[in-house]
Amino acid sequence: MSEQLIVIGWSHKNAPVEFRDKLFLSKDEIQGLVKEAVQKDFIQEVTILSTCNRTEFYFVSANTSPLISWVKEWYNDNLKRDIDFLKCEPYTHQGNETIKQLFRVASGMESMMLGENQILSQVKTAHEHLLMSSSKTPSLNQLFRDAVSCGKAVRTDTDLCRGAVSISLAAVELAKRIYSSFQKQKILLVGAGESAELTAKHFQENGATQFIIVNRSEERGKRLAEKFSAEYAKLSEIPELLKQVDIVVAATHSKEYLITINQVKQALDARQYKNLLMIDISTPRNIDIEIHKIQEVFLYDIDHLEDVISENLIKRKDEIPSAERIIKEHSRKFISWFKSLEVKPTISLLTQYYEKIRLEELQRYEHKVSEDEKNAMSKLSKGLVRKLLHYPISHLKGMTDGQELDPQTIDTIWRLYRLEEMKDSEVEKSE
Amino acid sequence: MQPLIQPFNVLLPMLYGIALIYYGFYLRNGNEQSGKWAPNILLSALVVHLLYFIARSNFQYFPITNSFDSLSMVAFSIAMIHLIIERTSGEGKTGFFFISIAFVFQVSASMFHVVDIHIHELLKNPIFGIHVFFTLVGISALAISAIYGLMYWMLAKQIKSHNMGIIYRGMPPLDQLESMGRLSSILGLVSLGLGLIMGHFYAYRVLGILFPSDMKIIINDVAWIFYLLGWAIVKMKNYSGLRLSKLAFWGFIAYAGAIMAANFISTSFHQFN
Repeated sequence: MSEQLIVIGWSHKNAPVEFRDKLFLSKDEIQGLVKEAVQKDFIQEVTILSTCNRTEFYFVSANTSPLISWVKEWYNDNLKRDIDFLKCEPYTHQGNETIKQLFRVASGMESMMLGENQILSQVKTAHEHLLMSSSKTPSLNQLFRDAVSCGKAVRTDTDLCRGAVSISLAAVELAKRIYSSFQKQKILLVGAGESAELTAKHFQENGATQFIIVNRSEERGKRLAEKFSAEYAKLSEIPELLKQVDIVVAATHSKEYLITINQVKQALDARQYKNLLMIDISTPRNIDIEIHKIQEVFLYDIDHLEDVISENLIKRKDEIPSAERIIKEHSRKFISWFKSLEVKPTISLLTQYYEKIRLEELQRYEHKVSEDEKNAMSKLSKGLVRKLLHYPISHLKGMTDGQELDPQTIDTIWRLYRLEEMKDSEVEKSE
Repeated sequence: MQPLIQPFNVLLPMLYGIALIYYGFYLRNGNEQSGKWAPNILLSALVVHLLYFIARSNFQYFPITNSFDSLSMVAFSIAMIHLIIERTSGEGKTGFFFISIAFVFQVSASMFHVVDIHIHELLKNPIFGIHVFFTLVGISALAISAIYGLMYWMLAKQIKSHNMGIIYRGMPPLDQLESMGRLSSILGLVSLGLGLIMGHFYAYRVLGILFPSDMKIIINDVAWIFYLLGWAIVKMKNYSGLRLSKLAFWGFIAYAGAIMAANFISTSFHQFN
């Protein structure tokens, strides 16, 4: 039955960014697709995980062959995206591989940047969309719920997602080696562009409150200053500001040095030789590299931060075996749950089968025996059925828990006891 | 009480050793459980160590009867100061370095434990005992402050050279190392000050002289005055950073060097009777 779980997808591994852009689906588009998909008799459940790096369709389907062409048609006929799918064929996984795929995705193992954190919230969002949809999706609901808890476990129990892997975060991580808290530290941001803003945001998230923004364009600088409740200052004020700040982040496109060694040297005495962290993420550099020679100054440029990132990535790679173990354990639990879905109706039908025979046999003697004898026979037959069923039921349950249950076993039981007929007659009765 | 000593000689290195292992795990992996257990085990080691001193003293004398007893007292002082600093700052990652020193000292003290001891009359005087205790704690605290200075120096060097080695990953941030070093030097200054005052008071009682012309006493007094002046200047001028850490380190090296030189030149130390 777990073979019915199927994933069809495109990610950074098999599709270039322009192709992935065309595949991206909004929340409304996902809802539209789900609505239409459940009308198809070959689809029992469906949901989509769509991010900038991947679009994956998760199905529960007994018939796998029409799924890929249906997905392709849906893009081109319904959404009119005009995608040439011949350029990029999707990957498909079935059964346990589907479970593993989603758990790996949620854990950040399949991300472009190993151990990336955002993907977990994207899987959570996909799960929320699933819960909001009107169609019944018990299997995918459980699959996504378990994927989220697997992703959380990997993040808590391993260092796979620790350590900065972006320039702005690496800058913050570096500053943490010098300052235990940013609450009292003054941060001077030279530049008001995207990189400066992102770095300021990360510092703010880590407790920084005192920012000074310096920018050539006053309007842009003041706008950023307002965003971070910061002060705005002119470029000419840098020498004075160097006397009071603890961290300097330069992120502009200026072609010349905005901070020179003389400016820093002149500020040293007024600073009482306190440490000064200078992070230059500009290209070309805006902080004079000679400043590195001053012993109280820690100067980092973009290349040094790249080294920090590489170090962190190596550390993350070392955590892969631990993460794999967690994924394996969560997959095992899900498979066990999924198989129990299959066992429950089997046990129920098997019980009904024996009960039916018991009642039929009792009926044959209904007018031949006294009321007391009838009661005794009923008691005897009930006990007999219970004992006859005890071993097969506990065996089935045990197989589910012990991961030994295969579809063949269930199929054999259904054939032996003609449970399909039993099920049909039950459906007829209820109708 | 003496029969009780032998079990202590096994138990103490064991407890310091276990604490050291936990601090090692904490430094290496940042494992929070290890970080939680290590100070608790260290506290147990300190309590047991205190009981050892009581047993060793027989309630009659200060328990520093030979060099190995002194090593044990230094191990106790280092561990105690580290624990105070850890509890105050909430940072235990440096524990491995200090407890390894305490461990080595205690192992040596336990291994070469002297059973037949000669009790010097001086040791029976409680004022002398307090003087020795505070002086040892003070010197240990100043040594710890110097080690914090060295750690700061090493970490600053790694950060400056963009080298992300084990020190970079395992050490607390620079500002925290500095505040831990400051706290340690204050503890040292106060404790050594008390020790020296008690020493002078005792000298006055025994010899009738407040300032005996003993080279080591003079060196200790001068060093303490230098430390006090240094601390006042740093406080007034609000100095911090690498220069301060170098000062803490080289200051102690000079102090220790002067005491060693005085030990070499003069043998008259504490010849009061």
